[in-house]
Formats: sequence, C-alpha cells, structure tokens
Amino acid sequence: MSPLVIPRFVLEEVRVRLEDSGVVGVEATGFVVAGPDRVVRHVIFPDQRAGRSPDCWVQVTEQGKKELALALGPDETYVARIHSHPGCAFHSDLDDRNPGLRHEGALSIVVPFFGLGLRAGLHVCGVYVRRACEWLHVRPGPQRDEVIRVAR
Amino acid sequence: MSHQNDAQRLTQCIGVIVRTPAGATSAFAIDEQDTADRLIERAADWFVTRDLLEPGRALAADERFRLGLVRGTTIVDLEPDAELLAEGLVEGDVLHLLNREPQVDGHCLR
Repeated sequence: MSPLVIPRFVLEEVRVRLEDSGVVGVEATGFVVAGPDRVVRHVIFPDQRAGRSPDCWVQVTEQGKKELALALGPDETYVARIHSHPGCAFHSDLDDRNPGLRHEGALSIVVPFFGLGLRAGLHVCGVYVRRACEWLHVRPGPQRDEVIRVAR
Repeated sequence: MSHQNDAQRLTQCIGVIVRTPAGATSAFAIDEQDTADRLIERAADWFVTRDLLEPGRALAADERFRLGLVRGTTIVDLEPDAELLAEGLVEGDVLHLLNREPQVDGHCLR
C-alpha cells in the first residue's frame, strides 16, 4: 500500500478546526478523505459533542455518522481519523476502542495540545496504523514515511 | 412452497450498493425475502473476507451496524426486520453500514 499523502493546506485547515475547539478546552475529531490515488482531498468534521468531565472526550453523534456517510464521493474513502488531545499525543484505551474507523491499513492521527501541535508539523503528532485488528504506533522517520507523508 | 422459477425470481431481484463506514463499496443482489439484518450480515461477511472491515469480536453484524438508505441528501434508517423491497428500494440504491456502537475518543487531562 502506498503512503497516504496529505497536502499541507489540509493540515492547516485541520489545525484551525482543532484549535477552535481547543480554545474552549475540548477535543475535536475529523475523518480524512482520499481518492484511489491515496492523496487526501479534505477532512470532514461531522456533528460531534465534546466534554471535559471526568476527562476530555469527543463523540461523533448519530447525526454525525450519517453526515460522514453522505459526505463521501463514489470514489472516495475514509483513510484516517484525526483528533486532538489536551496534552501529549498517544492512543488512549478509549481511542483504541473507538469503532469509528477500523479496517486493515487505516490510520489514526493524534494531535497534541488541542491542535496547537500541528503548528510544529505532523512529526510531533502520534500516528497509528491498523494492523491485524490492533493499532500500532508508527514513529517519525523512515517507518512513518512508508505510511504517511506531507506533500511539499 | 414457491411456485416461482429461477427466471421469475431473477426478474424480482435488484442490485443495490452497500458501503462500509470507511466507504468501501460493493454491489449486492436482493430479493423479496431479504431484510435489512440479512443484508447487513451478508455484506459484513463479504467485506470482512476482503479485509475491508474487521470481524466483530463479541457482536453479530446486525448488533454492530444498522443500515441507512440514502434518499437525496438524507439517510433513512431501516429497521432490522424491514423487508427491503417493501421499503421501496430500487435498482442502484445506496445503503450505508452505520456503526451502532458509540464513536468516542478521549484523553485524561490530568
């Protein structure tokens, strides 16, 4: 499978959206759309609700699930999900259990500091790939370049 | 006992598109005996076999997913026992497998 290619402008749009939620202290989640060439076209932020009690969480609503289904073009698929954390970028147990996007080769990107981390770039984010029904952490470097890269 | 021959059954069969939550797509033939939960089971099995969907660990396919029918710019929920042809499905209709389980991410702030 070829690497997923994310244009820089898409990451910038994602950063702005995540920070918009971050300024009120909540997480946000989006779904990354790509065509058959595995180049990202855009990111959908479906209807969602978020809270800070007892810890930070964000949930795609039932309406949001329908919005995700309707947003896809015939040749498009969701290849990754991307969400923010208040602090460090890692997959929590709750993130692991989220059934939102779990198929072989799917990616999950965690952006630290309520989206601010994307100001530094994708390399400070957590990237996970779905293999054999498990999320595997992909460290920055050659290993990560094989699954995802930012278009210049 | 059915008095229909294969040709008669074939003319009463229509083709619909089913998509996974990630958007993987395949066509399925349905007839008057098909209900939403039967199509969910058949479609999930097809997608799982091709690594386009993960197998459910403890849940059956119709416990993991519900079926949503695209109608214009909205999605109509189909009850598990809904008979698909009686619901007015036509050739080429698009249906989505929608997760029944909550889709939650979270992180400890402390």
